[in-house]
Formats: sequence, C-alpha cells, structure tokens
Amino acid sequence: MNFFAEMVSYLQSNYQNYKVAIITNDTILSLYAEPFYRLLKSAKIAAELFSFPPGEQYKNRHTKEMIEDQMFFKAFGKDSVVVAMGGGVVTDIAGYVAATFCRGVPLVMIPTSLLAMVDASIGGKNGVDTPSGKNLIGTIYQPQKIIIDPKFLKSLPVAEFKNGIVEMIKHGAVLDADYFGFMEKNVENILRQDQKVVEQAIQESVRIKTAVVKEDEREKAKRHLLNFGHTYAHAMETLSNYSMGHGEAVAQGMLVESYMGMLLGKFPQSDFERLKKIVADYAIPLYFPNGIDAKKIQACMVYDKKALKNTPRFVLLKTIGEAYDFQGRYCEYIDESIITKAIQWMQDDLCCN
Amino acid sequence: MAANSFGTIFKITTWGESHGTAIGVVIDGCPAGLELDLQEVNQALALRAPGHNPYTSPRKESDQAEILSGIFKGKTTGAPISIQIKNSNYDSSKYEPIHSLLRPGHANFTYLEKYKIFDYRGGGRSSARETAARVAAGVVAKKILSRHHITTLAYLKQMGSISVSQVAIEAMGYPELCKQTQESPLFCPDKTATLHMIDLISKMKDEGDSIGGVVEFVAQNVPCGLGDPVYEKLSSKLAAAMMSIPAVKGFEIGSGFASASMQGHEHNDQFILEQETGLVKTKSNHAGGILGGISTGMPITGRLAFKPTSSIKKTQMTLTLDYQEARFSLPEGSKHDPCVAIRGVVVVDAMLSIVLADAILLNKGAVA
Repeated sequence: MNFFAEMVSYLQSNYQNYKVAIITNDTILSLYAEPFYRLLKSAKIAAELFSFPPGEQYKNRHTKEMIEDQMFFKAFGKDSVVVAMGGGVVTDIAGYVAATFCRGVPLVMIPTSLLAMVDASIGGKNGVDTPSGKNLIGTIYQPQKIIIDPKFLKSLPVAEFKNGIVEMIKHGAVLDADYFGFMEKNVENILRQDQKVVEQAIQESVRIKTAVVKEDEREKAKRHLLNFGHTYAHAMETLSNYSMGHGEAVAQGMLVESYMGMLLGKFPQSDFERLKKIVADYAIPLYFPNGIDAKKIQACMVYDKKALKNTPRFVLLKTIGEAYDFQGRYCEYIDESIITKAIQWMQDDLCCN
Repeated sequence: MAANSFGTIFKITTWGESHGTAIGVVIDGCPAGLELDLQEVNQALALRAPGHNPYTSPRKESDQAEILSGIFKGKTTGAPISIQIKNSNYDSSKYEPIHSLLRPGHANFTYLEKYKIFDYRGGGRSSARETAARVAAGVVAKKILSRHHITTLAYLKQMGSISVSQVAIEAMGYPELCKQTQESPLFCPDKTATLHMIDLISKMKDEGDSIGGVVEFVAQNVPCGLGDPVYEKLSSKLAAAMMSIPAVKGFEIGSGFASASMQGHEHNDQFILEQETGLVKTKSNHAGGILGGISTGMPITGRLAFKPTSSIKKTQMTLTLDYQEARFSLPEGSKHDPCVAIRGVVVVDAMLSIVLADAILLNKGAVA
C-alpha cells in the first residue's frame, strides 16, 4: 500500500469521528498537503488545510495564534486531530498547537525534510521562537504516530538536506561512534541520496535519539546531550535573524564547542580533526555573518535553556561517540576566556566572511 | 525592428546574423543561484549544430559558447546572462552568384520589400543560425524547470510520408521514448522509421531537394496552474514561441486539428483522483495538458509542422531584383539541409523550456 493510502486508512480507523487539521507550509501545500487533503475528502473524512509561509521567521507566537483562530473559525474543537506535514518549523508549530488546542488534541507527524525526520519530529518537543531566542516557548507533547517516508526528500533542496545531515552527524558524535563511522564512510552515498543508505541512516538516527528521549523525556539530564553544538548554534541563529540554516549553525557549534574541549585538554585533537573533516566532506558551508562577534554571541548564550544563573553550560565530548556526564548533569560551565577564544577561532580561522 | 525579445519575466533577446562575427542571447530575469556550466551549453549546441550527423547540413560549425555576464562561481547572479557564439566556417563568396535573385520559399523577398536592404550572405536574421542562441537560452530555462522536476522532450514524429504512429509512441512509455529519441541520429524514437527516413534523406540529397516534417513535444510533471486567462494563455504563448521558429508552418496542442472531427464525448478528458499521489488527473489527454489556457497537471503535448527547407539545389524559376525572369538554384558547395525539422527538434525543446520557465516565474505572483 502506498504512503497516502496508509495514512488515510490509519486516520479512518483511529480517528473516525474526528476532524483532521492538516498544518503545513505554503511550499509543502501544493506538493503534498493538497494531494493528501483531496484523498481524505474523497474518503469522506472531514479535513481542512492550515498553511503559513515557509521559513524559521514564521515560527512565532503570531503564526500559532493565526492557525488556532482559523481552526476555531472552521469549527474545530476537542474532536480534532492535528496532522503536521512539513519540515521542522511545521512540526514544531503544529506540535505546539496540538498540545494546547482545547488543552490538547491528538497529533500525527508527517515530516517531509531530513531534519524533521531525524530530529524535529522525534522526542515530542515543540515550540516557537521569540525575539530573545529560539525555541524559548513550547511544551513536550508526544505524537500518536510519526510516519517517515524518505520519498518526500526528492523535492527537498540540497541545502535543506544538509541541515538534516548535520543533526545525524551530531547523533553519532555524542552517542554512537559506530554511527559516526557509518556517516564518515557513506559521504558519497548519502550526498547522492542513495535510497537504501539514506533509509538506514535515518532509521539509526531515529533509534539513537529515541533511546535518549525514553530515558529522559523532560530533559532533566541525559537529553541535554542532544544539545551538543546548540548553545552556540541557537545564539548564532538568533543573531543572524535566522538567515543561517539550523544545520550550518549546529555544524559551527559542534566545532566551536569541541574546540573548547580541546583547549581544556578534555577532547583529543585526533577526534577533533575527524569532526572537522566530516563537516568538510559533507561540504557544510561555514559562513560567519558580518556584524556578529564573540561578545554578542556570548551575550546571547545566557538565554540558552541549559544556562543557570545567566551562565551558559555546554555539552562536552570525551571522544567521538561519547560525551562527559558531569555527575549526571551532562553539561558544564566553561571559562569565558575559553569560549571567546573558540568563537574567535571559528570566525578568524575557519569561516569565510 | 524591435522584435527580437521573447518572454515576460524570463526574457530572452537574441542577436546576430548568420554570416556576421557572432550571434548570441541576453537572458534577463533569470533567478539567482542556478548552477550553470558552460559545457552544458556547448553540449546542447552540439545537438543542434549542422554536421552533428550526416543527415543535416554539412556545414561544420564547432559552436563554442562564451558566457560574458551574469554568472559568478558557476552560479547565476540574477544579473543579465549574456551568451555569445562566434561564427566560423562560412564562405560568403558562395552566395555571390545569387545575391541579386529572389530565393523561392525564402524570406529574402519579404525582407527586401520591407527593409530595402538584405544581408545576402546567408539568411541574416531569418537564418536558422539564430536558433543556436535560443538553444543556449533553453539550457538556462531548463535549470528552472529541473528545480520543479519538469522534464521536456521533443522528437521527430514524421518526415515526408514516413511517420511514427501514436500507438507506437504510447506503447513505448516515456522513459523508453526518451531513450529511443536520444539514440536516433534523427531524434526519431522509432528505429524502423529512422532507417526509412535516412533513405529518404539520401534521396533528397541526390535530387537536390528537401522534405518537410513533424516535430512532437511533451512536457512531464508540469504543475497545474501555469498560464493565465484570455491573452496570456499557456497555449497562446506556446503557439507564439513555436511559430517563431524558422520554417514552422503549423502548430497544434493535444489532439489539435484532429479535434475537428471528434465528438464531445470522445474529446472530453474524464477526471479521476489518482490514489497514489492525490493528484487530479484525466483518463485521456486530448486537451494536451491545457484547459482554459491554464495547465491541468497532465503532460503538455503538441506538434509542429516544418516546411521543407527552402534552399534547394533543384533549379526553379524566379525573378531578379529588377524583375527579370531567372533560374534559381543553390550554388554548388553552399550549405544544403535536406530536412530542417531534424535540427528543429532541439529548437522546439528549447522554446518549450523557455515558455515553461517564464510561466513558472509568472505563476509565483498569481495567488495571494
């Protein structure tokens, strides 16, 4: 049975008297959401489309409010099921809508970008950005079902595809040396989107993340590990006004944060070189926007969710595939001068302006 | 003669004459960020170039394009893209003996009557040489199409009375149709027909004559909604584009002229919802993928009739420029293309790509 037919019959048998709210963006709308909507209609399932423009800049409270108002206008109530169809921005917003709409309605995720397949749709986190920073408001709310079909990747632009690759590399770097090795070995296969290899890479990545989420859904401890590279990345994304892709920012973040580890003598140089090489092999662009500097980034880092008393904390790698547990805290304060030095290294030695 | 531009957003302007220094195209309105490699342009030009195979004009042109502007680090910048192709390997002296004659079937009569001046060394702006510039622009247009997964194909369907049946083409399926077309030296998807056509070309060469042909085109994965009502129909734009190709005398979309003998219940394409994709399709495609001037999401199909090449070696009666009866025949050693429809295939594909690329860009502002 094909993907759409499977989805239609899943909704039919599990949500018979529900109304389906398909939340998507304007790009996915005509590519996949409208076709899906037609099939639901043809199967006599009540459904409506709710779409907003693509881009991180629309992942805000206003968009959520707009979707909710439209849903009420179309008489959606407690008997709704939200289907999130799109990339990370869509799954984050739709998840947040589902979590709070009439105090919570069932949620089904259909991620269409690689980033959403391996990361954003997994683990239940949802939320929106605010002018002060990324993902600052949201909940943890698990979907009833996540359906991943790599066929959606056909229409994904290369830059977006690479955003997903970076999170996959991260999963290997923090938690699974074998998977990191797999990602190193299969650069070519993955870049030319060999279906089998990409499928395996997605499955493994999902497995790694799911295991951590099961242990610590509420991010009290171990789940912090998934935030490797993100203390820097979120600050960078906020300061660049989201002109920088999430993957690009995380790639820089992984390098900066492991450079700190190296300066502290906590991370071997040979492993650091592997990390640098894999980012280069996948040709992840390293670009440092004008007008941003170490000082601004450090000022922004205090909004990071791992920060305590306005002081940022970082996930540090011990080797490729393992991070320090810091007595169960999984992240640690780092001397300001080391942070500055690492950011300056990124800006001066690695990035092109 | 402000008549050398085509397109609304993706706008091409071609320039140059067949026996001048160079010909070329300026493409304005091309989006930034498309990867463009000079080699791809040269490969496309090689397909159109005379001398590509022994069955078209033997004039050897080693077309080498130069990209003069609009590209930085292998990508389009959004600035006008200028592509130049130098002319070489021409011998204007061959045309001396006929420079004072009206050439039967040729545009030198209308150009002379209208403009009172004509570059007799070849066809000037009327020359098929101009189409090389369109082919170069087509390569750029295809970059936009590939972002939308649209593919285009044109092939030789008929030469003289030898034609490939619709049944044979439909039985082949699209991938096979592409493969067979690529493998044929005449861009004809049927092996047997190709052989018969080759014989016909030899016969035309021996007789110093030429023959007409039909080129068919199809565009796959065109989304629903391209084209606008009334005067900006996708069908009108295709007609204008295709009829602007030298030697084209007829154009049709979908069932075209055959629709005239059909009844409504036969011609109407019945709608279905495709279960695998959730797309609205039609069981048949007599409409050729266009309803009300707007694409339906079905393949865009159509056909062009190319007249036989006007420049032939057979002697025909004509007039001199001072209206004396005279005999005309193409001088020995001058170029002679027995069937211009063959090279027309590459040009049709380019014009189809240019129209669709423009329609995609136009469509971006269609609905709020």
